[in-house]
Amino acid sequence: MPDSVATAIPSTPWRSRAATMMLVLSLCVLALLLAMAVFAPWIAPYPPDHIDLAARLSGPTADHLLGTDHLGRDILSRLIWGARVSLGAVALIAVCILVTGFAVGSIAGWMGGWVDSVIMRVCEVFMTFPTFILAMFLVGVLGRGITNVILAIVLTHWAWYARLTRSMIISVRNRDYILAARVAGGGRARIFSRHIAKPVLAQLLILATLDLGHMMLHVSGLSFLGLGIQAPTPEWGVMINDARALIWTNPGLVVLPGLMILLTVLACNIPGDYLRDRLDPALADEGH
Amino acid sequence: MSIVSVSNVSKVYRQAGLWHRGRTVRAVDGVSLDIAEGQCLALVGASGSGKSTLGRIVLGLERPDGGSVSYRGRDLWSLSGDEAARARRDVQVVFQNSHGAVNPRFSACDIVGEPLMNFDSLRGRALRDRVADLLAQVGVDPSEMDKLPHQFSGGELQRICLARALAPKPGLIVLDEAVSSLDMLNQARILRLLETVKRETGTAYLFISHDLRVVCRLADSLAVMEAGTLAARLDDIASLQPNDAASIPALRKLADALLPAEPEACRDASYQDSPLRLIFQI
Repeated sequence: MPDSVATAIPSTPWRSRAATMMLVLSLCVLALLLAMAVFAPWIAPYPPDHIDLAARLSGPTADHLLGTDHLGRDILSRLIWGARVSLGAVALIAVCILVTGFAVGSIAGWMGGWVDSVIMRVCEVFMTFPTFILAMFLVGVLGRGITNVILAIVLTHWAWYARLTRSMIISVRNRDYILAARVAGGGRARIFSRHIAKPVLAQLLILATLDLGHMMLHVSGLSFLGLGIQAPTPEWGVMINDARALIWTNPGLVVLPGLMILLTVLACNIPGDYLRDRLDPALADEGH
Repeated sequence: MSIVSVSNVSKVYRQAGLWHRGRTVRAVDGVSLDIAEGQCLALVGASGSGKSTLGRIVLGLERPDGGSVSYRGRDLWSLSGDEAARARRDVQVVFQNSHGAVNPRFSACDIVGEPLMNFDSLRGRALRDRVADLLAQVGVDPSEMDKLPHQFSGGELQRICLARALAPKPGLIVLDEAVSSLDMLNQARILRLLETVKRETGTAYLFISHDLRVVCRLADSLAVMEAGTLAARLDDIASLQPNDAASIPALRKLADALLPAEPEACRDASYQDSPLRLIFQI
């Protein structure tokens, strides 16, 4: 019976419309977060470290829309300023990982031979370090601070990107069209930039968008543990840590920054998924 | 005068390994060949006989482990600078799988234009005009030059690959199973095109194929490969007589390399019983 089949399988237009809605929504959220980060000094009603002990731990009021924390600091302002610190750190980490991973992976994949072997062994060493352990080690040796947290996350993540880059390059470097490009007179550098760099970078960017949320969790997680960004700085992980003792009396202090982290992670993952489906060469070919 | 000649070349493939020595495969073992100007040398043999490896050695894509490759009388691997570039543009290639031989993200114009950019530094208008000429030469409508590879059929794309090979005006084109993945009609068309190109431009071919029937129309001379070595060699095909088959040993060798019209594997019972076979008498 055709009717029952039609109802049993959700029709594609509906599914794609829902997916498009989610995509647009998450892009809006992302844009909002970015705007918050960029325009924090103008949007935020108070400076993030403005202490008003008279109004401490107040619920939502006209003066403080989302209430205040244990030092009477405005939560809304701290969330807005927090976007700047958290997103800034994540963006910096993503750029560092992409650049290092792409450069090292390209050298390994394109040069091959013993260079490849040596680089891959080095990658394996870095891949064995858990992020948190390395972060604790770095903080122990170099002292606390956001720089060391960023360094720890970059050091434990670049190798995955390098490996991915390398494997993608190896999978295309002996294709007939690369041979044809050599016969067509292209030098190694030329062939790399014309035929290899672009698709590999596209794939890496997709992976990075999917990873942004994960990095965000690392930054906030390490800050929560007191390893990264330090107390007065308005960062979401720090805010949660600060409010731990008040979780039963003022749950909003923990929940709100938590929600911000959740929102950011989701808003990064949905466009990432979309890009992955869209730029996958096999799927993109069917699109025409 | 030969364009490329290889003498006593061999190529050994080793499975890579950091800690252990891999197994070795002798793909080509002591082969000597001459490819003369304007001539078509057909290289036939079963798959895995080393034809394609030899083709890559002739192209200068692989360095042989033994023996020498000379380009117009000079050692190919000791050329440098301008001479190396001249040798590079003088020997071009068309591969079997046209979809694999082009970057899927490149338009026909980018594909054919690549050697023109590299060798002649053509850009913009001049490049597009030259590409249009080349596409017209191989029978592809120049107005389609901005289409992507997957928008062309296999036959059209193979023509585009031929246009790319013709772009630097080479003296020799290596046709590595260039028509083997096309249907018979397209095979015939491409072969006719290759014949026209050969007559008009005087380009020599090294025509690699597993199927003698494909090459017999174009070939001036013929070499048969078997397990990495040259099993037989026929130099002057045009002068052969039909009754030479018994007297020339090379021809008997050749008969082994020829695919039978109906391979043994096809002759099993289930295939014989098919009603379609009876209806269409195939």
